[in-house]
Amino acid sequence: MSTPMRVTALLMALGVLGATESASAQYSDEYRPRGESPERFDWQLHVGPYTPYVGSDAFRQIFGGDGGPMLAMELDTHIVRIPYVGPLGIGVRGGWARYRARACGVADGTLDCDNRSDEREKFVLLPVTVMAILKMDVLARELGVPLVITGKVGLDTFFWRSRRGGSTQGSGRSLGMRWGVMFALELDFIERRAARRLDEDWGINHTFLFLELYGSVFGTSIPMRDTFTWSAGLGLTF
Amino acid sequence: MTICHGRGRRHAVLARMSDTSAHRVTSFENHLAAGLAKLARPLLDKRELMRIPRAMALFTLASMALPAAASAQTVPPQGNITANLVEATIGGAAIPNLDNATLDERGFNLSECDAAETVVLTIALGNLPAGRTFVDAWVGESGDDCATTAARVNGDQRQCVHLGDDLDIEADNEVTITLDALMNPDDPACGGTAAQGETFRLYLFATGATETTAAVTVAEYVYVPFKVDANVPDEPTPSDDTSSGDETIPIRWSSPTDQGTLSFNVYVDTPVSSCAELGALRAGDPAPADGAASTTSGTAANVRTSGGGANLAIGQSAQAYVTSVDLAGNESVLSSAICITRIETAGFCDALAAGGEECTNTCAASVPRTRTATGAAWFGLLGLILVVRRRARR
Repeated sequence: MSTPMRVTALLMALGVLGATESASAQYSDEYRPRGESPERFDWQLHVGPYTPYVGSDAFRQIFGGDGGPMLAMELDTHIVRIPYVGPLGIGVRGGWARYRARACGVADGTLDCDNRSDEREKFVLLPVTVMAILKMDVLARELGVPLVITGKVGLDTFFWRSRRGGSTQGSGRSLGMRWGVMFALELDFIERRAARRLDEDWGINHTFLFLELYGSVFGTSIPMRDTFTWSAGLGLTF
Repeated sequence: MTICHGRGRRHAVLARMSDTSAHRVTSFENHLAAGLAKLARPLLDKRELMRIPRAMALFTLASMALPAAASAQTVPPQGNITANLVEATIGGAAIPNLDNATLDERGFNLSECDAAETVVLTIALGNLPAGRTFVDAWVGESGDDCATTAARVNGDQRQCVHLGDDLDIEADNEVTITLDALMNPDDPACGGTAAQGETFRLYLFATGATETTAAVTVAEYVYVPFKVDANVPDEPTPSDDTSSGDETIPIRWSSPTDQGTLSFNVYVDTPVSSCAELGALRAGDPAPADGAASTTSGTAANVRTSGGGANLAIGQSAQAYVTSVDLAGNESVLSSAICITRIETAGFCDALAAGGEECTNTCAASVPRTRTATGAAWFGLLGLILVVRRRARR
């Protein structure tokens, strides 16, 4: 089994483990107000810039400040709820970003990126992240302020591939650490009846817009880190 | 119940009335609610959300049903006899890419219309009425239903063309039909001006009559639709006059409009020392017979500079030309030239190499040290999950 397949299989196994755990344990400390379905998962769709730093100027020389964008999806499971804080759980995120540029020329044996050819250089980044999450929803659940702050820390695995003119020039994998802080604005207050119907009909407790500040640090081998960047998007709690 | 004045307060009261979970509505919510309610309603309201899949379903159904309805109006009823094209030849050689499935799509092209040789179709028939030893062949244009007597009446009003030969049904119920007269360049079939060709129907009547002008029953005929497209498509228009690269050189062009489905051939002339020079080919020439460097259905291609492509050394140039090819196989003249030049280029891996890093197809980024660290990290994470799981069970 290839390395990406092994990692994918492991992530799926972890996801199933988490899902089974939260589904089977009808634990007493889960947040379940009267008349609402229990909150077990968060799903998020992320869009935002990501410019990898590979430990040298190699990436910036070819692709400049190309920020992607990075598209990602994340699924978090709530494992245990800390009273007056919020749920603690694990999350899995998969992303995709593509960078394109015209290949640099070569003058006297050195790169001449001021004179580029028409040949296309492409770089694809596929990050897979497993994180521990702490979702602090006490403001929303206890005080009625629709703001949720989530802290995240975990492991990044970046799969990358560099192609020029349709043929692969190189590929690899890099392991790093991930941190993130997500600020989410729950939208239920806008139309509370509609939000309730959404829960009754589809089991969606909350919809939210978010801004996440995050970074990938400590990359191994050829790192793909971006120590500070952001993403924004839409999320669901169900 | 308190009557509150102002839009925000009214909203809050309504929210309280509708919310049975005794959730507190704060002043913060009051202020934001009025402004954002209209914007976010579709996001939260199931009825609004359901409009999207409903609209998509309606659009899909309409787009499927309309062309089907349009084509259904022009297709005459088929008879009970079955017909399958076994072979189509010209001068005794099989016509390329023409078989039972492509007869009404690829059809016959200009070179087949122009050819001095005869086009011959061998068709296998099935479900023939008993006792019939020959068939009577007619050809109608797309608007003609030759199964009706009106289309076959004698005189000036006759719409369908009688091919003249009464064709013997041979072994295995096969008939051989010569389209000699039909494929003559002066004949209407090859003289059509429709850019995407015209569809004809070859009717075969097993009535026992040598020139069937009387009524036929549905059990006594079959028709085989085929296309004749003798119109050469326009040539593509290159997007740029020049292009450069190392292993591959990208070229792009725009497709001529209203010419149906087209594919494109790219031809590369012999190498020259600069873009000012021309090789053997010229814009507007017929496509060379020695084969294209590449064929694509898109409007861009990467010309390989070695190994069967342009065979260019660093610093050399060549003129590239593109042609359009329609479904019938008609090929346009050569487009204007695109001068391609091979230069040395560098990408991400070269930039890495300049800094002393490796970047190869063998996954150089994953050194053994990294694999060990990765494995340890995954095991650590798995352990953490198990610990949390145990705590949750308690």
